[in-house]
Amino acid sequence: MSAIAVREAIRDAIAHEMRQNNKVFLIGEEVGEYEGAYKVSQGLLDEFGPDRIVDTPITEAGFTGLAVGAAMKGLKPLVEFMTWNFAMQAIDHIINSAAKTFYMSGGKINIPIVFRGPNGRASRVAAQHSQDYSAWYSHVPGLKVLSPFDSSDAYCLMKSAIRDANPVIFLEHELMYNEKFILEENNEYLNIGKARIMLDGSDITIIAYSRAVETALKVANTLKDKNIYAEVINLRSLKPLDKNTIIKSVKKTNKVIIIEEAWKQSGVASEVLSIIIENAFDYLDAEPIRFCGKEVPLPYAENLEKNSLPNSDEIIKKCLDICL
Amino acid sequence: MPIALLMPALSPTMTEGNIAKWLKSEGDNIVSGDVIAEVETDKATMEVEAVDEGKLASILYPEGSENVSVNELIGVISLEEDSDDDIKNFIKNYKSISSSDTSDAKGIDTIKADNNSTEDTIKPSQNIMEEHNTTDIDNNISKNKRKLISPLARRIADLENIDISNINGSGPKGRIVKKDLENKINNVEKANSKEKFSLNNEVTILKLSNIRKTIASRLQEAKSTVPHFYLKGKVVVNSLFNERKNINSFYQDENINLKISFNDFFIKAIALSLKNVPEMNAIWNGDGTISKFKEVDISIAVATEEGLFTPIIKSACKKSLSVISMEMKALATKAKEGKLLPEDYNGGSFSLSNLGMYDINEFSAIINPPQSGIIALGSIIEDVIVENKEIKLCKTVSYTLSVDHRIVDGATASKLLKYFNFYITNPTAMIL
Repeated sequence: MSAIAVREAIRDAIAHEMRQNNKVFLIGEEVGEYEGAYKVSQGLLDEFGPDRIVDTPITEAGFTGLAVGAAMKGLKPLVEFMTWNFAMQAIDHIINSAAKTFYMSGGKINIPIVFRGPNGRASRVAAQHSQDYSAWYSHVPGLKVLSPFDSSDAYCLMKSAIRDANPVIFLEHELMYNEKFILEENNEYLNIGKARIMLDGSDITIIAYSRAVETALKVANTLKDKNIYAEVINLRSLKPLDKNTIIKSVKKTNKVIIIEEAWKQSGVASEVLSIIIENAFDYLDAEPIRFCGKEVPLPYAENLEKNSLPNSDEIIKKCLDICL
Repeated sequence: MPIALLMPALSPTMTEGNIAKWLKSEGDNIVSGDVIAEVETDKATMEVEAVDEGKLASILYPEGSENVSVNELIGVISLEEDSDDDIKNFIKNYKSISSSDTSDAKGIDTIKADNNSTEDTIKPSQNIMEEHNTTDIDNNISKNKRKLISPLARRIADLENIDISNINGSGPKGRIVKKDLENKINNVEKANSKEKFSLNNEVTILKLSNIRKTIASRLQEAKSTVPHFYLKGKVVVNSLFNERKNINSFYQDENINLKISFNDFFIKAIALSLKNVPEMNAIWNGDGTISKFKEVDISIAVATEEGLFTPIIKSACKKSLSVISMEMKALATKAKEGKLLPEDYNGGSFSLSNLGMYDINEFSAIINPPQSGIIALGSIIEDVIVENKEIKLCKTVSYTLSVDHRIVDGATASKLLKYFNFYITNPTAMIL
């Protein structure tokens, strides 16, 4: 097993599925000649040609509607948004067309489509280019929402997303593209709706997704020095959510914190917390705590940007409070 | 308006106390300065003096009440204008108020109550929450005396039939958490298992006195957490024996009511030795630091029927033998009567324990944390020693020095004993 970057893992999964199924095609701005704004589609135009790697004008509403129509007619489009911030131009197609048609057609028309691109904060690209859409899309019935952390997640979940018969929102993280991880091709990881326990622990459960998993692991590592063993859960799949893994872990450790880079109100952490309260209330030995981004448009200034995101020192301090 | 009489915090570590005795009865008039009651704490029995004047209207905890929490209402003093109903209402209102804040007052705590006073006496939690609305909720909870308990702990308490009203929570904001109940469950299980073992034999189960509990927990902590090492030795006490005889017969001839004991000599000798080896005149702070002292304060183990006490001779190296002797006698008497005050036993960097009067040749003592060490002295015995290839008869004392290895090493501790030997074999050097 070798270490590969998350960017390559996504590309390899797409290439693998495109070789298996000639109905799969990639469409978006700069995906072909330029090989992707973030170089995720590197080498794909060479291998699959312009019929299956389709460059578009800067018109999200246009190419997204086109792709949803193609899916209705039996193709398997893979729509790249240069970033998820730009998908707001096309959100009517995603929600009203892609997510709802299967239900509204009485199950006659399904939309096998993957929408993908970098989501959430990057590094100093300011409020309009730093938004996390996890909560937005995971609110909508009819969508599946995936948020990989490392290369194994990215590779396995992308394969499953392309094979799925439903519209899938695939939320990548720009700051993770370059991170290298050992790629484990585990059948378990192919399951949409299955969380991954990154670290076994007995004293407190730390739940996170996407890049916040890195923060969670860092916190767990520090707690270990104080003889507190944290269990780290990487959600991976925000819709459907893996309730069982969450509940089982909380019943074991009796304490839980949730880390989310996005805003606090009505966020993924809020949803996870509700599940815990509804299902494991009698097992809680401390109040569950959410650590989320501050409720401001993400600032451009480096120091303010940093202070707007969950801070591991603060998390560690709070964990010690409730664990000691 | 009646005045509340609260269980006082008589030492910094006191969380609860027993009412040993009421010296005033219901209906008695009380003048400021009167001793109202005697309270047994974890360390001693102490007198509770009145600050306010009035009539002792009601006693809420009778003599012999155990484990009454600090700041609990134990009695009510009424003023002339108070009617019986005022007193009843006062007690009723008082009980419905949480009294979770602690006070370090030396004397009896009194709280003047009127209709608005609850606001003053019950301070909201010092933890300032991020959001104001949660602070308001917290305040309401503490006013209603709601016991904070985690959902898990509540469930365990229900399943195990544990009464949570007497449990102090260790979680944030004093919340009872699982850990607090596990202690309870373990205690119950342990008690049960003991019963099973002793079926064939008649058993009397004795409740520990507060003093016994303190000794048990402190020494268990010391023996299991302090890395002890032991240095043994023996010292010839012929000259000390003679010196003492001379001094005491001089006192007797002069009709001076004073008798210097061997122990007084040992205290003086170890104090001077500590002055010479300041590394050992230290305590372990447990936070990566140690504290060294200029003065030498020595704790002396005093056996009583209640248990072991360790009153302190302060600045012992500066005091003459006769002063040490008189102070020691006074402290021992106070200890035996259970009347030691916190200032009599708080502090000290080193202890001395002497079982000479019990015909013990030698023994090892447990360090009294956070002190650096303790010296254990045996009886004076007729002994045979070899000096210059000759066998000699003489009087000797064996001793064992227990040292906290975190504070000093063996070589330094040996130096302390070198000085100790010197002072004991040359008692006149102690006047230098």
